Amino acid sequence: MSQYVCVRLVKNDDSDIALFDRDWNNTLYFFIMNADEQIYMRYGGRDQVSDDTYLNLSSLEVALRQGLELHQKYLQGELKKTERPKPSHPRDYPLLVERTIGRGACVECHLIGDYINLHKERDGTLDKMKDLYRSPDIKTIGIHLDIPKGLVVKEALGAVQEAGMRPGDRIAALNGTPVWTFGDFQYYYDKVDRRAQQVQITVERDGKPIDLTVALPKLWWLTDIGWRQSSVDPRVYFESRPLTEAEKRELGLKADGFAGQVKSVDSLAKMLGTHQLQVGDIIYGVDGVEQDEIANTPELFIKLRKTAGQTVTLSVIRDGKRQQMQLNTLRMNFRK
Amino acid sequence: MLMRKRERYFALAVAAAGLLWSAAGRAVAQEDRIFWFSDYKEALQEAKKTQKPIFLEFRCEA
Repeated sequence: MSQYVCVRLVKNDDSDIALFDRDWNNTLYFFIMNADEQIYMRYGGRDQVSDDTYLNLSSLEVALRQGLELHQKYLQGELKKTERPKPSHPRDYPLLVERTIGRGACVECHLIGDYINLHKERDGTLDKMKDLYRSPDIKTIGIHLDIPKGLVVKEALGAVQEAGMRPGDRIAALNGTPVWTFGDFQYYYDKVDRRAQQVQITVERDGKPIDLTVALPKLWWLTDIGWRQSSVDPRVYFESRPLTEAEKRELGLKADGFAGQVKSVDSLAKMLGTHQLQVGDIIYGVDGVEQDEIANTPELFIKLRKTAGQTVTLSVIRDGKRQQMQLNTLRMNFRK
Repeated sequence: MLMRKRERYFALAVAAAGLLWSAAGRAVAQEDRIFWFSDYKEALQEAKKTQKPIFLEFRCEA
């Protein structure tokens, strides 16, 4: 690290959040770059299970050594320059300023992400599949990394196995963009259109690049977002499992509907008076809608199609009887 | 936001690892103190002057 100029920033107030764009729910994140503000790689990232799943000193060392190699190439004119994004700062978001700088408080990383989304919600540009469901899990398509070795594959299952990925492969690019760390891969994977049906992953095997076309399964981007505490996430305080086709048929429900059976109810639901659902209830409609091109459960439909704070009417089957029931979604407010 | 315990450990470990890692490998380099800039523009100037790459850490602290 003595070969680097090390800088630690704990305040985001004047940070260029376009240049240093990332999933804002990472509390620890690194950039390896140069004095021309060309970013060589990102180091960081997480999954829904833990904030440090992919943080590892050995993989950091791999990244630092790679950073030095890239820097030498840059100094020798061998690296293509990338266009610097148009600058953007926390002060460009009035709601964020009002909540933080205006009160003499810190511009915390997660607030940047949250308030960017709040502005998008106001502008009508919020794309919940992309803006709410950030950083899709690479394990959903079967990538299990040998974490201390960075982007070396430990196990290849599911979609990537079918595409030809093997243990020992080093992931080198995603859709043609070179990647050096998990942080890089997760960052560019997060940019993939949620309606995409495939991605191209380039691996290095025995010193040679191999392009793999990976078919993305349905809902490949879906993760548990409860830990993100996002203001634009309509909180429902229940979870359901999708009904099978046979179950829907038996109940006379739409075969391609999003009917689900409640499998758990958060104790907060009763405390906050959000709904009266019970485990075992079958929810087959929300505000009269029973199917959706994306959602496969009623709660996913609510999260994608309804606004946080909105009250919705559920169509429910309980003990064989159909009834309508109200659910008051909650909007998260103040969070440290 | 409070940095979680494991992330604090990782951050401290990164700083400690810097004292132990050098171009020659993992040799101990106790005179090789790591100085952390807290000002981004100053760090850019230093990197321009020394032709070194930059290792930039973002973290949110309580």
